[in-house]
Amino acid sequence: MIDFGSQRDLEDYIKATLTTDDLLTKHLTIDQLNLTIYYIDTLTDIDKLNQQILSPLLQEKGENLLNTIHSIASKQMDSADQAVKYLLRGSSVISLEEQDGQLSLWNLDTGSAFHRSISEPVGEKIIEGGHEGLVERLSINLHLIRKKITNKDLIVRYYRLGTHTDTEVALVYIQSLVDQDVLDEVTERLANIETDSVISQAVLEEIIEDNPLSLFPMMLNTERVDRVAANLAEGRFAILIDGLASVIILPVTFFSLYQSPDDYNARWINGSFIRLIRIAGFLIATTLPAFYISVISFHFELIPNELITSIHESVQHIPYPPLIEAFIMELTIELLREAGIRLHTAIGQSIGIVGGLVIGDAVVRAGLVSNIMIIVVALTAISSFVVPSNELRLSVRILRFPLMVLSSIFGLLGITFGFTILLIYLCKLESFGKPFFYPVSPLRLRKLKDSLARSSFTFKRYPKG
Amino acid sequence: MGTRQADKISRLELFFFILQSVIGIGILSLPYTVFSESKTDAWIAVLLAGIAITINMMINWKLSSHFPSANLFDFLPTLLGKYLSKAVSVGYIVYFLAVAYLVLLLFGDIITRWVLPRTPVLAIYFLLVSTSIYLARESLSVITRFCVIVSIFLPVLLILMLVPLNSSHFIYIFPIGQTGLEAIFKGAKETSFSIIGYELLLVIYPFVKGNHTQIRKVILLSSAFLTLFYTFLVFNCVIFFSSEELEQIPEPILYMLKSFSFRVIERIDLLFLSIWIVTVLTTFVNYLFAASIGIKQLFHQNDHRHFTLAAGFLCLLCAEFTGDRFLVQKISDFLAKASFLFVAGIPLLLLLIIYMKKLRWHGR
Amino acid sequence: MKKSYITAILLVVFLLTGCWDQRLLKDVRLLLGVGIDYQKGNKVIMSSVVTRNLEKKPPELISTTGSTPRDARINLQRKLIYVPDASKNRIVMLSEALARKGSILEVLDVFYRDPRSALNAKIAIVKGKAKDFLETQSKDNPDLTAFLDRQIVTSEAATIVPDVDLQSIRTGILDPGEDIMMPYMGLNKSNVEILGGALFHGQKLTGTLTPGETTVALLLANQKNKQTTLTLPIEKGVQMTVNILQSKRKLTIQPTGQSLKVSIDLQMNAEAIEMPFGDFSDQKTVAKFNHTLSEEINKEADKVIKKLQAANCDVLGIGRQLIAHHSSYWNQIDWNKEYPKINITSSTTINLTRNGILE
Repeated sequence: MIDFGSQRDLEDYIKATLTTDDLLTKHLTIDQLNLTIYYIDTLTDIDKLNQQILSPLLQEKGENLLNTIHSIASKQMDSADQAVKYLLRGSSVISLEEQDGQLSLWNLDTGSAFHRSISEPVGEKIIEGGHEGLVERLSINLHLIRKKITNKDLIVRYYRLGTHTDTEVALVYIQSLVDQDVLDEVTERLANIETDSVISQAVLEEIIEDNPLSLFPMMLNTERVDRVAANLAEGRFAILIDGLASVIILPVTFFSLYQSPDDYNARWINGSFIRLIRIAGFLIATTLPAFYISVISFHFELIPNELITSIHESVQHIPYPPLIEAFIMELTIELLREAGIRLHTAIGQSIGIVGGLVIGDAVVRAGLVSNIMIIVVALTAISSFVVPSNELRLSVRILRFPLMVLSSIFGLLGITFGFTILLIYLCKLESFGKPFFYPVSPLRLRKLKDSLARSSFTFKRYPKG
Repeated sequence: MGTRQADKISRLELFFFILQSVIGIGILSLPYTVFSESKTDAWIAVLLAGIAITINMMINWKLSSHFPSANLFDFLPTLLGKYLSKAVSVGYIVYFLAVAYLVLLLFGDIITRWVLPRTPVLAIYFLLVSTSIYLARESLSVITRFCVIVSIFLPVLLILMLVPLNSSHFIYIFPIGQTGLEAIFKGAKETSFSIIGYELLLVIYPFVKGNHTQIRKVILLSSAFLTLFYTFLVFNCVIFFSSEELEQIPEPILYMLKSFSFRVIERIDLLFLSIWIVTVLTTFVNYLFAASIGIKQLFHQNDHRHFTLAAGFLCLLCAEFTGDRFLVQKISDFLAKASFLFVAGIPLLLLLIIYMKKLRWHGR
Repeated sequence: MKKSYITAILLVVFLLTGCWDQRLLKDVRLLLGVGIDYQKGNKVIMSSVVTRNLEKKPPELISTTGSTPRDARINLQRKLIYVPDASKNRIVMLSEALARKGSILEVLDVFYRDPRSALNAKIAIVKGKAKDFLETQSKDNPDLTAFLDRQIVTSEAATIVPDVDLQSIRTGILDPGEDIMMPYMGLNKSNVEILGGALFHGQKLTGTLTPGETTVALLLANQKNKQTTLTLPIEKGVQMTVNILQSKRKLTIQPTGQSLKVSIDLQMNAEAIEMPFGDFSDQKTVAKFNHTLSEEINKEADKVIKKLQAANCDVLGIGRQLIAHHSSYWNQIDWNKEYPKINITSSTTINLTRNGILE
């Protein structure tokens, strides 16, 4: 079975392959049978090894010993290289020299199961509903998902990716709900991945998505179990990576990025209202500064009579053109956000206060920026934080800069053209063969009420696709 | 030409494609054009023109329906022979490009006069052309999807047009028919010349899902919508402005909006014009697309992208080197006459050829 | 990659050369109101209310002379550091003398031709000189110079002056079957006041009405606005004020041969808002009130119609009705000559339907 003459040869081979110091071996002789147990100390749960392997083995004799090994081992292996692979994943390997001199290799799962306790993801808090978040262990994540969806059609497919990292990746979907074309596409792309290491989901995403240069995220990342389950139930795919708490969901549409599990926890009218507010937030976050710039420097006749004098007064002393003024403030806000994000909560808050209140006030007093511009920029920043998806939030923030530049050259005309290009781009984008801007483009009126708004479950048929 | 299932467009998309091809820059000045011929009976003229347009559309439909999987450039050779068909194909391509070029000219003119007087018109052309090329190089399905989305602006215009009704004088349309039949027909002629765009049907027909009768229904619906839409707008202008006044205002719809103010935003005309650009853009894109498809098939190529780029910049260059607005007026008048040939004349002729061929076939 | 270079280069080119039309709000002085006077030698004096930049003070009044209003505005620019901008203009005041010259559309052309000008600005005729009018106002009440249009808007709502703006007077002037009436303002000592309506024949100012007469004229022209009050004598030495709730006008036109008979039938429901005594619970008294009020309004209406005909101002739109419904007659006559001569009768009935919270 094994191409090694003796235990000694095998041990030499394994030790030569794994020169690391934490590889340990134990030699046992039970009832004239020679056993060698290999394991990597740092990956192995010693208690498990003792309780589940050593103590049963030491109690048995002769024929029974083989049976015991059969019953406790998860797999018999046929090459030493395979054994090395399993050792690296935390298994213990037993090599057994039978009486006829034949060597056999057995793999026993003794991996230590350290993991974080299940808690609510910090970045995706919701008000009510399930608060379970995913953790960094693939098997636990799968367990959490399976618990949510007890469906015989829930399929898990494992892949091992990364020539260096050899990371375990799982593709999860509900067979009866997914689109077969998309399934073929996804499995094909996953199977053909050639990469060195998979240490973050972005690596995987960039390799499998249609358009790696896309401005918009073509996949959704989430750490919420209920969000994963809801998306699976809508016929999407989830890709879980061992060692990462976030799950990739695909294919997504623009509007599904704007949905949050909260919508479905609220009553449908409230849920729809919140969702429409978010879409309005998108429009505000992308166009408001541009609109303000074009109004203040091209078309101030748009300002109502009652407002014009006060706006006129507030911009009079500003030395810079509105575009520069806006850039100063936008930059300040982005810096503040970036500064606050990684700091301890307490410091983060004080940065918010220093930035928001002190700088905001001082900048107006110093006459660098007009107070209307502060309002505009603040409103824009708030609107951009409304987006439930982290990556989309970043895209939305970037989008407003080209629009601002265009509007400072062509006024409203520039905004229209900028926005038109954005719309064309959205119409063009496809995610795994599915139009990204669905159901607005191509237009499906019936689906619209469940993507722009959230229609009641009573009206809702069973979703598909 | 082979048509992939994915490239097919639905009938809803066809409807909006026709709408967006037809409605464009012309609508802003149509009331003025018709009014200068038919005076206060302009709205009757537009209704009459609607009938003419419907007939034209039916001719185009009938012609296309004989070739369910071939577009204009495909079936011309089977009807006209090798050399003549080439000539007619080139004719159509030039016509499509000319319309696109005219749209560009008028667009530059209106923007320069209304919004950006000091911006070089080349920059304005460039903005429209580059954005259009970006869209026109895509497949038909992307273009139609875009047409569907931006059609949301049509109801916006309709709602805005309801506002002036409050301060309009319905009495201005009376007595109905005062200008006489001749003037009304003249206005109708003028209108049917300026409402073009549905002839693009000849190019996109094989891509539409559904059978001939279903498509006919969509076409009839779109012609009905267009007729009512245009009539409403013209009617609105006639009752808002007094006759002598309307004769001095080339863009009555914008002028009308300019005189209204809303609480939140004053000068709604600027906002409207900025949005309306998108509708102008779709007209330009659709013609550009049709032209580049034509060139593609003329040279038996597989991809129309490069031709779109070339055609777009050709329009840009021509527009840049076009002289004053009187020349533009002349070009516009000439193109109106030419459009009659390409929209109704040639399709009718081709239809007759088909019937004659059929007769001969039956005769044998 | 080549494409992105091209895009980047184009973007830079645009950025460097761009902003052709940029017109920063901070670099302009907003024109909030304009008064135009006629000066001998075919010149105009333009008095402009412009906002001040860089100092918090009420707007300033600057007068300039020029051969046309546009010319005067260019001269204004020479007096200012920043560019004057008329896109937020709210009111145009024409002096009586200018309006009597009979070519107001020529004077106003600058407001119609400019794509940026505000067509919804109010317009008014000023008794005396517009310059004096604005100067008095800006001396006594400098804060309010920017809000002169509010006074007109408020009066419009009370049916004291016609509801017109720059756009609508052009429509009216260019319509052969209709004439316009504009707000008429003036100084009473040093107070700015609404003096009633200015009557136009075509582009020419031909007469004026008092505020009370203007209200009646507007009622006859079926242009009742939100609120309309009339104070009429009810007995000797006793006046009653009524608020017109509803008014219905019927215009009957009968061309018989060469002559034209026009009758206006005006029916109104009214609410008594001031009446020192009187018993509204008694049906007979109310009927008597109704009768007296109707008669008084009739008298007033006859007077107004006389004045309108004397000014040759067809603000009632009789000519428009003729064009629409009797076009053969219209084509025969010269309406400008015919209108002052025609026979217009009016019959008004007023009906008190409410009387406040007192009986």
